[in-house]
Amino acid sequence: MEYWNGRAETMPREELERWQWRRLRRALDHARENSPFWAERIPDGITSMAAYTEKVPLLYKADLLASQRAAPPYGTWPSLDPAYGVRHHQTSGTSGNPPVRTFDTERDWKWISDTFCTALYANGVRSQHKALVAFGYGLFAGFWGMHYALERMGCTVVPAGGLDSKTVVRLLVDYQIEVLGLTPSYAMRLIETAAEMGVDLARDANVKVMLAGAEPRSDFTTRTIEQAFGARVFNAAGTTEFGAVFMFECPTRRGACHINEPTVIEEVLHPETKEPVGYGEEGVRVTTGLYREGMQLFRHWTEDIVVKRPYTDCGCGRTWDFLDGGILRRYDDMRKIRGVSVTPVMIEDVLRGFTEVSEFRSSIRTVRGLDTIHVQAEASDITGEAAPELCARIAEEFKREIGIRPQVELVLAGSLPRTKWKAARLHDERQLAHA
Amino acid sequence: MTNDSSLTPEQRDRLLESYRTLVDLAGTCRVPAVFAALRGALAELRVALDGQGVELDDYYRPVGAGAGN
Ligand SMILES: [Zn+2]
Repeated sequence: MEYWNGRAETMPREELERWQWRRLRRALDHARENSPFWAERIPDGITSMAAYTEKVPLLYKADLLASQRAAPPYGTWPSLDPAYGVRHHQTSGTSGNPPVRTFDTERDWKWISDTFCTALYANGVRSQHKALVAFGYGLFAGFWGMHYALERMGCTVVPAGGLDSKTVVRLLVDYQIEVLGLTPSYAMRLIETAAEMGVDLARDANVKVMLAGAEPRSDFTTRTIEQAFGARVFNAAGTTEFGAVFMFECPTRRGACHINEPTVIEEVLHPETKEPVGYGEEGVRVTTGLYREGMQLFRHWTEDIVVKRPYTDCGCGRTWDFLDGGILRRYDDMRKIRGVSVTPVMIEDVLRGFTEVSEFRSSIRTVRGLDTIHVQAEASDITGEAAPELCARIAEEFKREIGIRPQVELVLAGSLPRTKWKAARLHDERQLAHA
Repeated sequence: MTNDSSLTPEQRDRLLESYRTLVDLAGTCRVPAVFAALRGALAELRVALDGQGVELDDYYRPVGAGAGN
């Protein structure tokens, strides 16, 4: 087994935990001394990890937003003068839901790149590989860190921001790209485009490693992407609030996403009682950053549902515990429809099972007082009697898998919006209807 | 096969020594082009040292960085 940083990745567990505690203590001191926001929230006299989780309150996104609203752009949150920042990023805020804004110092940014390097190296990326990052290169942090990490590792990077998907497919083939970074939804889009162009990605392109991050995905989607590209898909994730990559998938055990524990503490708490849950149990991921100096993070309630398992269940030699299956779903993405819990991934799982469906959009609507799922699906070659027959099959499969029979409507091919970033495929329109 | 996973004590000491030399230089250097190179190199070395578990007390900040130089 080869590691990017063998010392950190294979450190004996007891030594790792002592290291985490020293880093946490130093991070708490830095925050209390330099950030008015944290000085208010972090009490004095935290002398152990147990005291830390007992005394420091959970941090919600609303807390960060309130701080930034009161003192824009970064609020009272920073622990350093923002003039030390060498870059600015923000989350993709929507109307009525403002973005979280962050900056990174030079050291913070090198560290962020390094956490990407840890993931990429584990997934088999080496210097002199040719890589393409299909990402918007905008305000959103996304794959920016991957781009810098690839340069840092000595790879050749093609920055495919702002290109249409046909051009991306051509670049993959013409330059025989070996490493590809993108979201699962954009990978699905490239598969569709390649088929339209008569390109067989598994045969004509040379992609070996795909880092498909940033959104929960179904196993079916992962398998579809791997088959179409003839490549291994690895999961990884980071957040704007934390800054770096906190987990990456191990090549040894499928779905085992090791936590980069020297730089992050991941508690897993019960979504309602907020008490810690044990290994193997579902809960919400709560993040503490141990390294970033400009914008620190203590006990951030992420809304990500995860299951943590001990490192010994993997066997790759890393002593870092892992999140089994990565981020399983978002706690706040779960919608109750007539008493049934539904998530976007559940809907995706059903629809990706229909090879005729190239894209879809789903929403929850209230029809004659009854909440129901409304599905719009693109199925290009379906006409005549086959159309209602396909709708009926989709509705039946929904009923069987999820327990709700949706309204299904076929729409013109190419009429639904495609996203390169963060697929949001379940739109709750109930409040709009009631308003 | 496992790749070399740890620094030797001598390599570690020399890395730390290089870092301290560059910190000193960054404190006095007034040539913008050289200062920029020092700042980048210091940030890289700092991440490398921290990644090896080398304990350094301060929160790293080269004098003049960010505030214009
Ligand atoms: Zn592993």
